[in-house]
Amino acid sequence: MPYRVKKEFLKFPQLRTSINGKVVSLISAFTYEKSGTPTKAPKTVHVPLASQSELKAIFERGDNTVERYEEEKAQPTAKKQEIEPLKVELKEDEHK
Amino acid sequence: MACTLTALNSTTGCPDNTGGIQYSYYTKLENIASVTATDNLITAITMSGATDWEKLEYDKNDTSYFNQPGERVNDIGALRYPQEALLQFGGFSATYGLAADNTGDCCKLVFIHVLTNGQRVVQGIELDAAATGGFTGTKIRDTKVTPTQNSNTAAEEAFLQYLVRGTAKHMAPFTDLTDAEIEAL
Repeated sequence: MPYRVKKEFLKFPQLRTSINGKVVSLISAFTYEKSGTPTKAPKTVHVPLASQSELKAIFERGDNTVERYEEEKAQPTAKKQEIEPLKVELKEDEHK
Repeated sequence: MACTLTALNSTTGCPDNTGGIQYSYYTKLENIASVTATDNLITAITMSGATDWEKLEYDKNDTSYFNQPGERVNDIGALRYPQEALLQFGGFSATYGLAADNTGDCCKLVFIHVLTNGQRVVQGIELDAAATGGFTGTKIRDTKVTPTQNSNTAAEEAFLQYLVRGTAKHMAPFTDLTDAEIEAL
C-alpha cells in the first residue's frame, strides 16, 4: 500500500525531515538558502521529494505526519444497456 | 501520566555527573511540524519547510546552565517545572545587540541544549500524543528569551546573556539527534 502525508499536515508550505541520514521533503522538492554562520558560508540547499520507500521508513519509525492508504480501485463501468432500435413497421395502407 | 515507581541507582556504574551545558541549537516553535518520540526521547523531528536550527556557542566559563526545579502549587497541588537556561556570550557589540533584539521578539522558542556529559535536553516542548504533531510548546508559560547586555567594569567581563525561561507541566524531553542531523534539518 502507498504512503502519503496526512491531510492535517498539508497546511504547511513544506515538510522536511531526515531519514537514513538524508534530508527529504514530504510535499514537493524545493531549494532554499541556508543562512551562514561565523564559521560556515551560506549555501543553497536542494531538498528532494521523499520516495515511497522513504515515506514507508518515516511511517514505520512512528512519525505521525505520514499515513498508509489504500488506493481507490477504479469503479467498473456500468454495462451499457443495449437498446434495440425501434422497429416501426408501416403498413402500406396507413399512408394512403 | 500514570503513577509508576522506578528503581534508580547512581552508586554503581559511575554515571557521568559533570554539570553544565556546552552549546545549544534553537528554532521557533512554529518551525516544528511534528516530533517522533519513544517515552521521553525524541528520535526524529519534521520541520515545516525551509527553516533552520541556529547554533549558539557560548562561553565555557562555568556560567551556562539548564535547570528545571519542580514545584507544587500550594506545596502539594499541581506539579510544574519552571525551566531556565542561562547562556553567556563574552563581548559587547552591535551584532550582539541586534541578535538579542531579534531573539527577544520571539514568543515561543525551542532549544536543544547539549550538556557537558553529552546528553541532549529539549527546552520549550512538551510531548503530547493527543496533539497534532505529537507535541505542544511548554504548557504553562511559553518559552522566551530575556537578553541582557552588560559592559560591566574594566575589572570584569563584558557580555550578552540569554536567560531562557518557560514553565512546563512535565520534565523536558531528551533527544538522540546528533549535531549533524540537527544541522542538516
